[in-house]
Amino acid sequence: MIQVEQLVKVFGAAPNVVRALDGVDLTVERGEIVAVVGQSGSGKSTLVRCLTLLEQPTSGTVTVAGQVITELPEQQLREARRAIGKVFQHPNLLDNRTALQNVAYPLEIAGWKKRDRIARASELLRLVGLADRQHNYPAQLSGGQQQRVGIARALASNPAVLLCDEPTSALDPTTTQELLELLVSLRGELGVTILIITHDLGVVRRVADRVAVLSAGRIIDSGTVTEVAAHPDSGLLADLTVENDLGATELRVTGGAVQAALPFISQLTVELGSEVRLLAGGAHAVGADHVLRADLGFASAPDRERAAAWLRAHDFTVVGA
Amino acid sequence: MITTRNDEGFWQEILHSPVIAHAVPQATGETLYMVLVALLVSVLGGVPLGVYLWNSGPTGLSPRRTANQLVGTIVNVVRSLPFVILMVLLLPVTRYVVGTTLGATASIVPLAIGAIPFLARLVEAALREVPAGKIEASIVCGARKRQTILKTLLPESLPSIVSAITTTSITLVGYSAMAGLVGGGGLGYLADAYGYKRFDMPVLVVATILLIAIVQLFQLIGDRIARRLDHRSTASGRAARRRLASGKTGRMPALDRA
Repeated sequence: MIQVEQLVKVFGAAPNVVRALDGVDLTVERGEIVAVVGQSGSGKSTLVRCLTLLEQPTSGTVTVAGQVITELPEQQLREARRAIGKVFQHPNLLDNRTALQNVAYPLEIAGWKKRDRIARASELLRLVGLADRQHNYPAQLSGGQQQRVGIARALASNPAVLLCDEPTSALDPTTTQELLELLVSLRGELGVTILIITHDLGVVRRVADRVAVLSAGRIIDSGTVTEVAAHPDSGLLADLTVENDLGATELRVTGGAVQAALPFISQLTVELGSEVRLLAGGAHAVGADHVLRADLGFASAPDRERAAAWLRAHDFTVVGA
Repeated sequence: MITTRNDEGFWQEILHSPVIAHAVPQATGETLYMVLVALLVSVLGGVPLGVYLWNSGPTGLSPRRTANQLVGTIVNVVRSLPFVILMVLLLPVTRYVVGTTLGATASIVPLAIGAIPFLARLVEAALREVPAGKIEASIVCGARKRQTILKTLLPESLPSIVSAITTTSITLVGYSAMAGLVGGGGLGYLADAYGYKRFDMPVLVVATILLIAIVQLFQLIGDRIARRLDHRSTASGRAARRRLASGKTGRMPALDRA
């Protein structure tokens, strides 16, 4: 549904060149929810701006719904943009239009008749749970409600793809949760493909099917969320785990759902005949699964070696020994 | 002089002055006529010019560096001329357009030409206040530039544009009084011809009071229209304030959740 190939975006002129995107490849299949994560300055915003051609990429192609949008002339680009719904970090609603009129905006642009616009817009507001707020102005809505209006507007022209740029970054945790549930249900009801750009790892773990980690303009890791989270050097749990410097009697252990389900600390205690301390981490929920990421402390260096051997034998990934 | 008369005599003089009874209403009408027609012309010219300045500027939808700088320079030149001088410089233009350089109608030409660049800059500033995100939201909806300007940019900045027009109207009242000094008619002419040149203090006072009243009226009307058009926070804020004032407790609409 979305295919990004060798996307490069260079800002500035020599010698002060910034390669914001440095050959990004990304594929999103129909009906998937894919997250792109990265820190500030990793190129997330540039990527999302290139996907809607708000920023012209330096090279590379973006294909959305079978159409190479990077090669389209202005007129056709405007048409193609209607196949991409965009949800912004700040909803960017028009303050002097009601919720209904905001949702109807893209339809007005596309030349729909007034009666059809209103029918479609109120149907969409019902879909996002704001049927009773049609005639409120944005200032009369909470941040979460405004974002719902933003989502309804993005869906107005029936896009194949919903592009969400930090959709929850301005929301509190409860509202974030509600909004994510809405996105998942929209995918179920409308079959819309969703690409979420975020720095919120919690968002990724809760809704994404697959994740791509963007760093310095490159995708450095990608796969299903469970896979990526289980990588020992994955940043996907960085907000949950404290990164200790490992001492001579300590090691870091990571694993997937199978390992996360094992009572491995008590098994290790029995195996070693000495204490095992949990220094940090544990089993973390990722989507419907759990992944394991924990720092362990042992009574002595030899104990640590024996523990590492036992853990490896049980398909854990071990760092530090 | 005012100090040589007692108060009662002064007010009596105002009530019985033939100049005040006959010339003042006519002059007030002339001032309103000059200002309102000049305002109409400057809105028709200044708003599109302001949109052009914004749109061709670095943050606009169609940046055109050279054209923007050229138009910007012309606007600045006209704005930097004192109005009295502008009026004199425009005498040939006025004569060409109206056929005469005297009277209220003739004043409209320099008034409008002086106010257009003034309003244009205010409109440009108002447009710059529209967040870039809203403009991008319109673009990603597939809007043409014209649609983004007409459906997002102008409606979102409408309250500020109305305030800009209000400010312009008040500036025009001041300019129109100055126009009176060089034969333009209106309250400015009356204040000068009777009050200043003939020491008719009551006429001067009445003309001044009327000019102040006109300015207040314009400000009042402009503020009211701007407030009515502005839904940024006032709608909920006003309702909440009303509730607070009436002592009814209840949740603020902005905090309500569906």
